[in-house]
Amino acid sequence: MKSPGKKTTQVLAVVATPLALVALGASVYQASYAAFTGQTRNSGNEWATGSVKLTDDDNGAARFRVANMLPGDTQTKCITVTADASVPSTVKGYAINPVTSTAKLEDRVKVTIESGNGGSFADCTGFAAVGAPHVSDVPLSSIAQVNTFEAGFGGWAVPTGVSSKTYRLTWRFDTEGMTQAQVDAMQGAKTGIDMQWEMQSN
Amino acid sequence: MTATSVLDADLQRPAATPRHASEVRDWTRLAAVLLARMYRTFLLGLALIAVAPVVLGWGSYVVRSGSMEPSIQVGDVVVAKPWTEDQRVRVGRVFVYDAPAATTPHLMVHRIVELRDDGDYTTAGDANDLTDVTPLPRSDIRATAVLLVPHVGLPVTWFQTGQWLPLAAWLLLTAAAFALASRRLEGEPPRWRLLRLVRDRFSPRPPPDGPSGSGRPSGPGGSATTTHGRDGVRRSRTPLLAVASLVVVGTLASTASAGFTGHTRNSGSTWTAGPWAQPYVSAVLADAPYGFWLMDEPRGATYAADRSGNNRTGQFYGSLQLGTPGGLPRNPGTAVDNTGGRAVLGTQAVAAPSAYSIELWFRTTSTSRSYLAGFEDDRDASYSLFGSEADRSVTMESSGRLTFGTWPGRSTAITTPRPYNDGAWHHLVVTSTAGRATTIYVDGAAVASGTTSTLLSYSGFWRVGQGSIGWLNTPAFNGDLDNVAIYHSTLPATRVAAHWAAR
Repeated sequence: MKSPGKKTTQVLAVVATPLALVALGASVYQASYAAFTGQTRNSGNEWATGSVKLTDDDNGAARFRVANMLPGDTQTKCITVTADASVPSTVKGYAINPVTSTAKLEDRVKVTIESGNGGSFADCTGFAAVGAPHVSDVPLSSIAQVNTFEAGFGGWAVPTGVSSKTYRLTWRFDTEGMTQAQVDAMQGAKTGIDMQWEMQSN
Repeated sequence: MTATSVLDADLQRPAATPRHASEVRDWTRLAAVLLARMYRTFLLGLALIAVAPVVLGWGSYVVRSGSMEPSIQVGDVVVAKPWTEDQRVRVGRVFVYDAPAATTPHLMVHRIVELRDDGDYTTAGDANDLTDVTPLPRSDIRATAVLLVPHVGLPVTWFQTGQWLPLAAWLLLTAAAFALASRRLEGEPPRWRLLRLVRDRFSPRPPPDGPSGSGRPSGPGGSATTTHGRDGVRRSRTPLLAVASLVVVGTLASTASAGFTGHTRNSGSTWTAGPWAQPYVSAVLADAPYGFWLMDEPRGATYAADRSGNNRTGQFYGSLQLGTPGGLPRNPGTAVDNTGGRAVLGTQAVAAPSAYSIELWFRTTSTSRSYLAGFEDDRDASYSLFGSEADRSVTMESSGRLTFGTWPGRSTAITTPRPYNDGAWHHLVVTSTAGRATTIYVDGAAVASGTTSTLLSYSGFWRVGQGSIGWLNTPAFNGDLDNVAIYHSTLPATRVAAHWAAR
């Protein structure tokens, strides 16, 4: 073996820079091509190292399907939300798709939302609230105003890993302070809402 | 030389090891310098590509989070061309946009995956399971991603997230690489002529290219010391400057996040108010009653709510029990089981009406004379001969037949032909005109009619369950009572039938 000769050194030195430039061009081109010319997203089976998943235990069933509701009626139910995060994230709840009624029934269905441990969609037994309620005795119409992640209630800080939280929802049909005629005008009125929990990485 | 070459070779063999070592060192050194140069070129090139478009008015965005992985990694720089309203938005491409509905404004890099019916777009991170929740309005789109410069923004993300260890390691490595890269190789002309001239003028040291200009000497020791000494000067200048400027440029670069999102939804919760205004109640209210007491109060209640809207709250007295099963099949509610008590209907005494109607539901098996409903000048259970007035009362005979017109001092009465103490619920209506033409309806049909006893004019209270029909004669009704309505008008037969039909 010989030490690199002058000629060899010169040739190599001259070649090195263009080589680096070619590699540079290739890598930028390749990356850009991969990222910006694809027309579709991943099919779902090759999630990257960081991903978040939020599920609930409702199996697609609506939490409340109240028919023939009478003044003074009330009901309490639970739903458990499970977060699977590979990066620390925040979960908040908010309302979407409010259904309004001309009789303003949504002003009279008042909702309390608490969160804690225990209980499930099927059965609230064992639920233990943690902290103060997120909303307390608030009409559906006000909850419908909370319709973005930014405004959402909760602010549940999810650490890396799987964690879950149960939300207890209580509603009551409150006709206090209304005249009988106003109360009667609400007969047959229908209101509704969807609850959504969203997780965003911090 | 040629003749002795074999000998030389033989002689040199023992010395081969150190000689070989120096060759390896030389090659290693060459390779290191060349690699460092390639790294320098690569890094400066990346930085240039990442930063240069800014001159054109384009934007460079360091990606902060990884929801676009694997195509865009954290620390990559997205070079994006500004987007204007007149440009097309191609679904499937990656855009830089203002995160919609965010209180703290920040830029997002995500793919637009759908044009919604309302003209907004749906965005998604490639690595997110679900699409982003908040739709993206056209006006929030800032730029179309054009070039992706890999990794070059990593120091910026390290700096912004306070990852000082990798940042320091990278800075050291880069500084070292830049220093190594600026070593002059054998046979290369001296560079930085201007700088060197200046240095030569002011420096007392000999010009550095003297020994190296004559080519690499075969003795390794001499060469090593010379180059080391020469490099000592350079290392303190350009590499650090270059790295420092890179860092400055880096911190100036704007960042865009590609955050992970997920959501879950519980849909379709609905609340439908029931028809609590019962048909019977509606039928009664349509006839504007003076008062209407459903008797639906729970057991133990002392006041009877007036459903008519006239606030004539009734009060329960004596021996009775609320909350027993009600009398109307299609109108849920409870009844009052009266044994010796009464309900006085209204809190204030009112002038006795000349035309009136009494309506109630009853059920009994009693065989003693009893008082169903009537009008009296006081609220108590007794009757005093002096100064007491009571009339307009409907009673049940011991036979179970219903009578109207028998009150203290009067006896022009009408009586139903058949008894009703059969243990079934019955609907009773008594109507009377100002001319005292009275009709008794049972179960919606008129069963007795005629002129009844004269009336007194005084102020008093309507009552049910117990009242005065003569001196010391104050019998109570023994049975269930429900849905009591009083009208200060004469109900027509059609309305009575309608009430019955709505039961």
